[in-house]
Amino acid sequence: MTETDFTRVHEITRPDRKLLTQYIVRAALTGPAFPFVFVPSFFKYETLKYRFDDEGITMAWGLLWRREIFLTYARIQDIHLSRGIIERWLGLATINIQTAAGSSSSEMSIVGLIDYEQVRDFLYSRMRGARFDEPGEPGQAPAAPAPDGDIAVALLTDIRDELRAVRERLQGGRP
Amino acid sequence: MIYEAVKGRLLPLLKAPTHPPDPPAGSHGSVQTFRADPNFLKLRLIVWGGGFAMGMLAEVLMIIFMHGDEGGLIGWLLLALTIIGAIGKYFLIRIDYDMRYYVVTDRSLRIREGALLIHESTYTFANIQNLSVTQGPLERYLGLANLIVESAGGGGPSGGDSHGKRPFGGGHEGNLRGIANAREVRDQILLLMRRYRDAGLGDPEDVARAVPHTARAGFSPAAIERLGEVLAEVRHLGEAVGRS
Repeated sequence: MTETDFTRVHEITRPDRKLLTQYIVRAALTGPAFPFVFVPSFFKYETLKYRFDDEGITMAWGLLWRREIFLTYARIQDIHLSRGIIERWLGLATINIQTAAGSSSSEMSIVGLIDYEQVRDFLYSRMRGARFDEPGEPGQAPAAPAPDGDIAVALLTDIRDELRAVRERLQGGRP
Repeated sequence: MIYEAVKGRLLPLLKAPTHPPDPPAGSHGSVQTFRADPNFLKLRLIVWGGGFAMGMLAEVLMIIFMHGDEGGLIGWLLLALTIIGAIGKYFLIRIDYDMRYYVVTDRSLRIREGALLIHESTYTFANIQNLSVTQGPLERYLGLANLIVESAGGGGPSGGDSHGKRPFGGGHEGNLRGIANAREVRDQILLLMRRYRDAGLGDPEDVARAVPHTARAGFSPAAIERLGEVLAEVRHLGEAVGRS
C-alpha cells in the first residue's frame, strides 16, 4: 500500500457516529443499569479526539477528568484488531495497540473506526520491522543497518580478485 | 450435513468473514497462510465429549439419588440445560476451528481467531522477544503443538494458564494453537529474527548501539576508506606485475 493511500488515516480526528449507537446498544443490554453505563460512554464519545501525525497517535477524551495519550509508531509492539457482534453489525472495529510499557492491558484502544483495516495497515507500515528495506522512513526506527558492511564486502571481494590475478600472473598463467 | 447448514446460516447473521485474513505487507511470495491441524479439532471435540459425558453422568446420578418430585424436576432441568449447552458448544468449537487462520510473511505474523469476538493480532519479527513451543500429553499423542510468540512488555497475560489455552493469548502474546509443524515454524521465525540485532523495544538507542557493533567489526567509515586505498595499491601492483 502506498503512502498516499493513508491520507484518509491522517484525516481521522473523531470516531464514527455509529460508535454512539454501539454505546446505546451496549448500555441497553445492561437493563436497569442503562443510565449508569450510557452517560459516561456518551461523554466519552462526545469528547473523543484522535490525531494521526508523522510521529505517532494522540488520543484524548474526558469531560471532567481529561485523559490524553500519545504513542509513537516506532514503539508499537503489536496491533490487535477486535470485532464483536455489535461492532460487526455496525461496520465498526476496535484497534488495540500494545507498547513495551508495563501494563498488561493495551496502551491505546482506538474505537469507532470505519476504515479500520486501512488504519491497521497504516500502523503496521510504521511499526519496526515492517519495512526493513526502508530504514530512513520517518516515524519508523530502522532495523539494524548494514550498508557499511556491504561496501566492505564489495571492496574485499575486489581486493581478493586483484590479488588472485596477480598470483596467477606470477605463476605464469596457471590458476 | 447439519453443521454446514447451521454454519451457512449463522456466519452471515453474525457478519463473520468467511475468507482468510489479508496478509500484512511482506515480500512477494513469502506469504504463508495456514490453519490449525485437523487433529486440533479432534482434540477439542474429545475434550468437549469428555466434559459432556461427565456432566450427563452427574445429572443422571442426581435424578436417581435425589428424593422427591422437586429434586427430580431440578435434575431433569439441569440435564436439559447441559444438553442444550453442549450442542451450542459443539457448533462454537467447529466454527472456531473453521475461522482460525495463521499468516506468516518474511517480516511479520498475523493470527485470526474467535467466532463471536473475532480477533486479529499482528506482530513483526523485529519486536518478538521469545518463541516457545508447548505440548500436552494429548497434543503429543495427536502430533500437535502450540507455538507461542511473545513481544516485549512487562504485563502478564490477560488470563488462562501458560500452556497455550487462553482464548486470545495475552496482551503481548500470540498463540498458533494446534499446529503440526510448530518447531519448523519456530525455526523459520528464528531465522528471520536473526536479521535484527537490537533489543526489539523500538528504542533508537538500540540502533545507535548497533552501528558501533559493526564498526568494531572493521566497517567504520575510516576502515572503508583504508580498504579502498589497499584496493588501489593492489591494482597498481597488478599493473606493475603485468608490465614486467
